[in-house]
Amino acid sequence: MTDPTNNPIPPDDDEEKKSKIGTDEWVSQVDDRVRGRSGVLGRLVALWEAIPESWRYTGVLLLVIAFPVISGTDAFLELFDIGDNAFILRTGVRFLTFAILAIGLNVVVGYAGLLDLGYIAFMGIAGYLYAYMSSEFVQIEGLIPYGLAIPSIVSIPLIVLIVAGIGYLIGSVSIRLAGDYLAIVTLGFGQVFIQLALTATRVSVPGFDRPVDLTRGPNGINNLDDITLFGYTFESTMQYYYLFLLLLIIVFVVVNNINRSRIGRAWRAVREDELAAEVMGTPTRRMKLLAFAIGAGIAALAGAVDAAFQGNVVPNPRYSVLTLINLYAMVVLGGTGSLIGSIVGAFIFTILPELLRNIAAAGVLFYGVGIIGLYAALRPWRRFALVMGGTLVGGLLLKLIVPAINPAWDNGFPEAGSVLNQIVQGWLVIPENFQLVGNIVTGLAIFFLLAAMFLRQRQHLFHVLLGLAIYSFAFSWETRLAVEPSATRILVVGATLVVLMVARPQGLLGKTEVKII
Amino acid sequence: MLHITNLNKAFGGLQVIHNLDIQVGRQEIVSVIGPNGAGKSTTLNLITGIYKPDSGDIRFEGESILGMQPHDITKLGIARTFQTLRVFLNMSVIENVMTGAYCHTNSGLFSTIFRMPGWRQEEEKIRQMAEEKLSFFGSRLQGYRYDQPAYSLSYANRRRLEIARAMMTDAKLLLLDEPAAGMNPHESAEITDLIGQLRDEGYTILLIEHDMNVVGKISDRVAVLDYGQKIAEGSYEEVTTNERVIEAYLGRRHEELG
Repeated sequence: MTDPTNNPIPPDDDEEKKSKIGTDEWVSQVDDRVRGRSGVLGRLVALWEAIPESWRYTGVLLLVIAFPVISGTDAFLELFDIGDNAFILRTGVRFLTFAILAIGLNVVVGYAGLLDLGYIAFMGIAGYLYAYMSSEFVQIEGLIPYGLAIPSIVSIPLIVLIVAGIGYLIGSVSIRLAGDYLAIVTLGFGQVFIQLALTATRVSVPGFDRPVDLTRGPNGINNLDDITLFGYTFESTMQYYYLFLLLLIIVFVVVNNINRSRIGRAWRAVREDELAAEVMGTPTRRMKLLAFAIGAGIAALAGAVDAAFQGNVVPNPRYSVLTLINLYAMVVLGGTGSLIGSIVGAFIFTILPELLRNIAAAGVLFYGVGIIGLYAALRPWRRFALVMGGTLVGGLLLKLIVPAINPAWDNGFPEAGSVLNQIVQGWLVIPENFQLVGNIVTGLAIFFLLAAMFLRQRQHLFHVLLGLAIYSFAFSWETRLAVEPSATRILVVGATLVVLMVARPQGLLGKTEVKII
Repeated sequence: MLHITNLNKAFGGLQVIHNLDIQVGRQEIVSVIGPNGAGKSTTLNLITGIYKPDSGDIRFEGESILGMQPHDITKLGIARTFQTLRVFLNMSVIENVMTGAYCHTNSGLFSTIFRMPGWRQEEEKIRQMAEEKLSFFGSRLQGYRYDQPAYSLSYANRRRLEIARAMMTDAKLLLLDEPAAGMNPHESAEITDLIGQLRDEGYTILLIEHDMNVVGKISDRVAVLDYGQKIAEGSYEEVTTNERVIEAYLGRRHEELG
């Protein structure tokens, strides 16, 4: 064996000239350097990060607290072209409910890494439990004539505990299974729940001579009592808004505290490498069950209060797989494992579709997302400027040339909603039969975009194709999509999600997971 | 301290461990060597409870640890590192080490949620202990390193991190599975010193290693496994001159076969 000391690397005299690649410290700072991007985006991020964290939280919190008041002002209603503050507040409550639910799901999926597809059932069970405890549904002659009427201060914590217990039980029979198998078992559990809720209308119960209706089937149970805490009854949407806000803050603080403790570390260790965690002294089975139970408890809290807010429990679609998929999308979009990410995900998912009911706002979003997407795809920014500038100039040239050849090719007038629409339409060449042409151009737009993606390597062609895609997408929006808002809304939401996930596969606030290096 | 008697383990029809006896005394460094597939790593997996033996007994400080869950065995004071590194890649360096403290801390859910003074003290204690364990490896795992993700560490540093994590469990017996694998001669010399220091700190060490320089320098005793059987035991010199050991490693001479 040769002695390595015989052949020492010559010492480098000039410290400055030496390559830093391979040096521990340099390598370890790669993430920081990548994050410190150049350009406008980088500067904006830096500006935001310059604000102390506590200020950021306080600012956002104040905004959320003041929101119902702001949204009630005429100026706000006019700006978003909505006639009714109650609608805005209902959307706000929906957001807060989903934010709580998403945090609970994040505990199970993001922290402990368990793919739980039965999560929504915990919300449903809590809803039904609340209905049994706080409505006239449960009636036994002579014994409970007018329902149980359990006070909320007792019933809500009780429901949370019961459902957390159910979560623990479901977990303990299925937790041995890993990954996909756990997903299937929990999915089955969720399906069993919703089928029971839909069909358990004629159940023979010992002691009753007639079959008992346990759930009232698809119609659900109505007339639930409002929540009453310390003699204060929550009735209006605004009151519930603040109740949900309070609950969200509590859930956030609780989960955040757990996350920054040995339990949170144990969860992350289990997610990273279960065997190593177990051998390092973490009771992995217990930790996973704990995550399951805590997730179920949080779902129960949201589910019970939500049932009270809605005043009823209706199984479909509130407790269906569709809602579950939405929740997963929120968690993934926000970034699995990120608490604030879950809230942001819930925000985007609940507010965005409502915002897009207003077609002018949808237009701003369409162009905004498009430009941001392009900016992210085209680095350095000079390329971005080149493509945008080229498209702009090309469009103007067309606008000059085409009417000169035949004025009939540029005399179409689609409805122009906002100033932005008018400007873009002034730039585009729009023929009279724009609806027919718009259909073709929509197809072309997608073709150009796909072609550009396939031909990324050939830079000039790529830029030209992108320019064509931009032009035809703008044309398609102005002539087809903006004219038919109901379909466009869904399309834009979908496209936005695609762009966001492509731009940040790890979720908006998630961290990139490294598996093996 | 560790008494393995008459241990047997078969995977299907393959007898991986056959009537194995190994004793490790307090503050002793015992090395287990042997060709690939001799059952060295299986022995560690049996001790830590990942596999259940078919027969035989494993006693730690007089108590049988057969049938115990791996995390309970760790709690008794046996910690290990892995041949194929298993650090928690996406957790920070300090968190990786702090994870090891789970088995000897006991803040419950309640005190965690409300951040009771007891929880605060315990967290501080854990952090302090983790920094102390990392300081064992000099400055390369200190300071700015604490909050960096483990995946940013070099191979050798990940090995060190695993050892720190194992120390964090308050173990008395460390099972090191090829700590010098994949290291350059300089680094494995350093690991050798380190194992010696660990013994001076009061740890008992069961070492699996292929690098004979490491084994030769620090082992009090060497056990040689071949096909799941112990074919020799004794000091490094005794073992390396043993006929059967040479045969196991190099094969029999041709003329002897004839």
